[in-house]
This record gives sequence, structure tokens and C-alpha cells, in this order.
Amino acid sequence: MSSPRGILRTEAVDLIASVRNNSLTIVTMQPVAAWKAIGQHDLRNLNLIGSMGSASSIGLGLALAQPTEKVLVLDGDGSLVMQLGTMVSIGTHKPQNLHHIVFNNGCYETSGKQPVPGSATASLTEMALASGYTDALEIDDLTHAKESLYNILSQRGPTFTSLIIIGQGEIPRAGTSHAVRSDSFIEQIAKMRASFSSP
Amino acid sequence: MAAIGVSASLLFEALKRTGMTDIVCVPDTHQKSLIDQLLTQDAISFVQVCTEDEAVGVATGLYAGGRSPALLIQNTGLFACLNSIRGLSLDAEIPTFMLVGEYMRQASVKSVDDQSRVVNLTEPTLMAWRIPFWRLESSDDLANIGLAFEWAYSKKGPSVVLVGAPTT
Repeated sequence: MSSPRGILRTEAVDLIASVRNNSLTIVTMQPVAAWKAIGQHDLRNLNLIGSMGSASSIGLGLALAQPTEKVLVLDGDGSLVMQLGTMVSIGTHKPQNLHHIVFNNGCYETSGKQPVPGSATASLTEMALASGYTDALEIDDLTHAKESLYNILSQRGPTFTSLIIIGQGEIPRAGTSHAVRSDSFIEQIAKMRASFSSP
Repeated sequence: MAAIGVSASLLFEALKRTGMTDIVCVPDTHQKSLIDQLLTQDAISFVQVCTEDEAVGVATGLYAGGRSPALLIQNTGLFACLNSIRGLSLDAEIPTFMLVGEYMRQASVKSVDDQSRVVNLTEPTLMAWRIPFWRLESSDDLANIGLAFEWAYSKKGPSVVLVGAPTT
């Protein structure tokens, strides 16, 4: 019997962090804890909890506001389908600096792992291409994953990457190797906005 | 007193005076002539999206990126995006100035007395949510644009201008 396809959430955040460089990032729901634990919640990151699908639209706005900055949205599949029309808006406005990465685990973990509608039938990568994204990629194992992710994030956007997630992995204990931000979303927004207003 | 349609040109000038940088829009029937004008100018960036929930999200991202956005939507769309207003405009204190067209309103009747629920429920809903609102019933009310926009940005939250009759 073959092993299930996919990577752990902790492997996924490590993968993205390895190619992030200085990109602005917006992270929502399940990846937040893992992303924070590896020190990626810096002043160029926004952590979004309970936004009911707003990560991609916030990412679109940020990309339009700062066209010379690369913007990565670390989204969830359940979050994305709550505001699926945003993919069409992204494909319409075509921000070249926007890269949409979805942690695709097929279920709503927070509320008890109910399946996300369409997780077995609807292809998010095909939807992205049909909406006007410039490229779409699915990653379900770590072989060549860093090279593939680096290449798509180097392209003109908007691009879409679906990371097939099969579990959490062990999240490093926070604060062991770096300072941990604990500011509220309000404070995060204010600090990010101020960073663009400073001379 | 009946609502009288405001000139799109005058309204556009009032919007420019606020210093807003972007208008995020899901098209509104009442503001069709204003939208036509916005589509042919470049003083204010015009960003059209699919839903009003997206509009609140895109405005949040624009704000985080240093811009000063506003929304242009219909009353039906206001009801549609209330949860996003709750989570982003109110809880996250994102300045969210909204121009909201009163679709289906009989201009000669006060909104709260209109027979249509989408009209008569708007003000009570805004009051229940403690979202301040102003009216644009004629060109005499154009100063309310600046007042409402300033409120949203100084208090860091939502504010609404209800457009009572179709712009001309």
C-alpha cells in the first residue's frame, strides 16, 4: 500500500522560510503557530486568526499598496474557499509581486477536522490558472521542493502553490533560539503601516 | 424632504479633497455615474472586486501597506459584509470609510419609513453596531464626505455615508 502524499506543516513552513528572503508575509490559521515558532513572525509578517477567508484579499491589498515588495500569502484551503472569488480578483488585477501559497490539508482542523467541501474533487491549482494566475504548482513531497518553490516565487506573479499537508509535525518550543513577538493584530498592522510611512 | 441625486463630478471632487488614495468597489446601482467617472481618472486608484467581504479585506491590506482607502458599495453589500466589518474594521481597528448606495429607496420617503427592508433596516443596523453614519441627500451634504472619512481615520474604525438618491 502506498504512503499518503504530502508533507508535514512544520516541513512546509521550513520550506517557505528557506526561500522567503525579505518578503512580506500574511499567515492565517493553522500555519501561524509553526511559522511563529521558527522566528518568521517579524515586523514584515501579519498573523491573521479567525478572519473567515480574508488572508488572500488582505494580501491583494498589500501587494497593490507596495508593488515593489514581494508578498507571500500563507493561506489555508478552508480559509480560501470561504472567499473563493478573491482568486478571480487576484487574477483580474494581476499583482506581479503576489504569491499565494495554500496549506492544503483537506479539512477544517480547528472545528474538528470536517472535510473542506471540494477537497476531493475541486482542484485549487486549476482554479488558480483559470482565474488568471500566471502559474500554479502542487507540492506533495520534499524532493526538489525547495528548488520548485524558489523557481515559482521568482516568476512574475500572481502565482499559486498548493502544499499538500498530511500532519502537523513537532513545533519547536517558542523562544529557544529567537525572540517571540506577542503583539496584537492591531499592533502588527500599525507597525507595518508605520514602516512604509517612515522616510 | 426628498433625497436629490448629487452630481458625480461634485461628489468626485469631495472624495479627492479627503486625500483618499483608493476606492475598493463592488458596483452600486445608485452610484453608477460616479463609478463611470472613477473609471476614467487616475487621481484615486479604483479597485473592483467580487464581493464586499473582499472589499473590506483589500482595504485592510491597502491600509497596512500605507494607503488610505475607502469602499464604494450598495446597501445590500453592506449587509453581506458585516462579519468582515466586525472582524477587521471594528476588532482590528482598520479605518473603513464606506459610501453606501440606498438601492430600492423611494427618494421621497425617509429611509426608516421605506417599505423595503434593505432600506428601512440599514440605519437601525448601523445604530445597533454603533457604526456612525452620515447622509448624502443633496449637494448640501457634501461636507459629510470629509467628516465621515476623517472620523474613520481618526477613530480607526468604520464610518458610512448613505447615498440617498442616484448620482447624476
